[in-house]
This record gives sequence, structure tokens and C-alpha cells, in this order.
Amino acid sequence: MQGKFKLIFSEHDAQESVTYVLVKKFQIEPNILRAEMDDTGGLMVLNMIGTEENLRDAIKYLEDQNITVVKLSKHIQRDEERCFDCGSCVSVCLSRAFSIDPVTWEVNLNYEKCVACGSCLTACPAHAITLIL
Amino acid sequence: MAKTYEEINEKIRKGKAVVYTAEEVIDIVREKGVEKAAEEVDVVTTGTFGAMCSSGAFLNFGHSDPPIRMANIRVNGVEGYGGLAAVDTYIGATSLSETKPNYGGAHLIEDLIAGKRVDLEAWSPGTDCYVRKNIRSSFTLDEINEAYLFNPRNVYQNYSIATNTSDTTLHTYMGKLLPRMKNATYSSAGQLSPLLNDPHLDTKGMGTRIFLGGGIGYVSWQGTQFNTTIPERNGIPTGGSRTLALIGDMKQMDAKFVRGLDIYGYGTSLAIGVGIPIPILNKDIMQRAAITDDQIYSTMYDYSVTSRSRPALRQYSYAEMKRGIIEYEGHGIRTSPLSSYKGARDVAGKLKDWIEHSEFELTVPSMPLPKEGKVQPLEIR
Repeated sequence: MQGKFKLIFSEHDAQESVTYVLVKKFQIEPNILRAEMDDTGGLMVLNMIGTEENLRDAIKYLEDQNITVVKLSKHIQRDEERCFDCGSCVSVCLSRAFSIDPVTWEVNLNYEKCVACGSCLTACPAHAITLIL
Repeated sequence: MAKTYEEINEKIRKGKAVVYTAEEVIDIVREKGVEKAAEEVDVVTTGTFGAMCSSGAFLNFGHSDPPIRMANIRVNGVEGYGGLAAVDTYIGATSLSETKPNYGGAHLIEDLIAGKRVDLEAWSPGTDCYVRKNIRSSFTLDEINEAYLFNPRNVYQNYSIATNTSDTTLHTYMGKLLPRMKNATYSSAGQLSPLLNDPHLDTKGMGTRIFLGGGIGYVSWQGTQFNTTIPERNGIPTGGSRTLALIGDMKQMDAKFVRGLDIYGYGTSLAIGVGIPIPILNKDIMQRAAITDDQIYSTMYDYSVTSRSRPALRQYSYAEMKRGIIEYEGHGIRTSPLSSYKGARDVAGKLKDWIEHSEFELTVPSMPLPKEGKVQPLEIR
């Protein structure tokens, strides 16, 4: 099983090396997609791969550390009214979440592939894309 | 066997015209051969839907009481030209709003066509005949007198492919260019594009009736930077060459085909759907209208070079560009179109529909466009 999660740290629990614990204790394969911190705390976007049981326990562990865990789904959103299928987003998308259908020439968005890097935000001239983190 | 405009129009009026888009007609010519296709097909419709910065709107607001000779004009914070008669203005697509972020003349044009109410403010020194010095009001497209797009340079015949050899990301009018040639962008509908299907403009001239932004428009002049000196491959220029100046009534337009764009780090631009019909008068015109993406080439330039003359790196066909990845000196470069091919299809399809339903007749150009044109640089003297 795998999923993308948003972890919100307060300034108190920013010291905890959570990814180390996730690997060591819960055999989770983490992939840090985004990590940022300021004086109010921090935010990490993490892809986690593991068994259903390990994932459940890992999330419980994180929550016990006072870390807010939010499962991301549709963290990238596209305004279908604004998008006019130009394709500007396609070649800047490193995870290839955007692709052009070779038959219809519509720009498709595969939510599962998106790693929330945000590269498309400055590539879209229609301002049709938002990243909700 | 040659046909005339009048014979084609007679068939259009009777609802008997045979019309295909420039994409559909490729297979017709392949199956039937060019001679037979030229006899059977009456009109080929083309389309494009991409950013065209050199676009804008003439508006006439009507007179207030007491009236004002507007010298300084803002509509939704976007400056309108104040050097015309009292209540005439021109608002360009790239003019940025002083009050709304990421908003410019292009967005204003889209909002007006979408029927939205916009804010007007204008100032004047005041004259004996126009005593008012300031006005604040609002209006919709229906409430003002004339409103028409007049675009000095649209439907570029082909355009450069852009890439970036530098170590930093560039934000250009050709979109976001990743460092070290990780991507390349192009902006043409290729085999559907109006001027690529009639490369020497045999069927176009002043007065040619067209699809402009969902309404009916006309070719009014050659476009600015009209250039016939670009080397050709397969009879098609390999870079930006001919252009058209277009005009059309905004009140007929559909906001689906007129979109305000904000290109990060560059500014605003207007995406417009433009479709031009090609009357199939003879087999040469038929042959050229059946051009395919693998025969149309463009040149890739390095946009990290800030000089006017950027180095040309290589040429690629649109068939190669549309595959999503091109090869350059052994490594792959991912490609992005900037103009919507889906939108281009919608435009060509809609124009075809109009012609088939006798809603759109072809016009004989009242004057041909120039056979020659070159672009002169601006020297700093």
C-alpha cells in the first residue's frame, strides 16, 4: 500500500527524526516530496509505502508525537473552466502527472503521479492549477 | 478543373458545399489523390488557438452628461489609450492592471466578452466643449457603442521552438524553460494552422472573412513584422514569417475562444481562436491545404541568449514535436505546445459547421497581401 501524507509539525516537535523511526520501526519506505520549516513549525509531504498494518501503526505513531497527519488526495486541483488544454504544463512536470492524450489532444492529469512539486504553477498561463497543502 | 468563389458560395447557400477541416482532408487527399480531392472538396477550414500578444480592443463608451474628453482612462485598472476622440479608446492585451494582480487588457477583453460588468474611471483637463474633468462609472459590453478587436499581428505563419541552455529556469513568453535543455516549447497548430495550409497566401487578402474568437471577423491588412524571407522546407517557412492583422466585432464573440492569459514572469497575453477558410479553387491549393505535420519544420533557438539574434540549434518537424520528446545531440528534450491543438480543432470544426449550415460564405479578397516583406531591426543611433 502507499499514500501521500501531509505532516504538520508544531515548533515543539520539530526535533523528532520521524522518517528514521518510520523506516526503522515500521518498515515504511518514505519519500520526502517536500519539507519546509519556519518559526511556527514545519510541513512535510511524504509518500509512504508499506503494509496496511504498518502504515496504520506509523500514522498512529506520528499522531502520538503531536504531528497532524492528513492523507492527501486531489492535493493538486485544476479549474476545468480555465484550462484550455494548451499543454504548457506537460514538459515542466517532472513526475509526468500531466500528459497529452494523443487522440483527443486533451491535457490529462493523473493525481496519483503528482508529487506536489509545484513546477506547473508557474507554467500555466491560464492560472488553472492550485496546489493545496 | 478550377472552381470559382461564386460557384463555392452557390453550393454553400444551397447547403451542398463539401467541407473538411485541414486535418480531415489529409486522409481524403491520400485516398482519392489530389486531382479528385480538388474536384470534390469545396472548402478546407483551418484553426489555431494560442497566445497572440499583439491584440487589443477599440471601445466607444458613449457620452456622459455633461460630457468628458477622456485623456487618462482606466478600465478595471487597465490603461486605455487617451489620444483619440473624446470617448474612443484602444486597450491592448499586454497592458497590466494597476489595481488587480495578474490581470491585464487580455483579461479585461475576456471579461467583457463574457458579459461581466467592468469599472471605468477617466480624467480630463476639461475644455469649453467638454467641461467634465473626472468620471467614475461601470459598463457591460452591451451598454457601450462599438467594441471590436483590432489585432495588428495574429496567426503567425510558423514560430520558433524555444529551449534554454543555461543553468537557471527562464520564464519567457514561450513559457517556462527549464535549465540545461530539459524542455522545449512550440506554439503552432502545425497541420491545422491557417497560414501553414496556404503558405503563400494565395487565397487570403484584405477582406477575407474569418472566424475570430467565436464571431465573424475579417483580414484587414498584413500583420506587423510580415516576413517572406525565412528559408522554406517543403514549401513552408521554417520559422515565424507571414502574419495577419485581424478585425472583428466583440459583441459576436464567445469567451470560450477569447482567453486572458498571465504568463509568469512575462505578463499578460490574449489567447484567441482564429479560423480561416480555404476555398479549394484548384489542385495546387488542395495540395497545400493537405500539408501534414511531418512536412512542416521549425527551428529551435536558445532563449538564454538575450541578444536579438539567438543561435539556431536545430530544426524539427511538428510530427516530432508532437511526440512529446525530441532528441538533441544524444539526449532527450521533453516538449510542450503552448497553443491548444484541441482548441484549434474546435475552431476549425465550428467554422466547418457554419459553412455546412450556410451561415458563412467566402469572400473574394479585395486586395492581395504583399508578395514580399522583411523585418527591419531597430538600430540604436
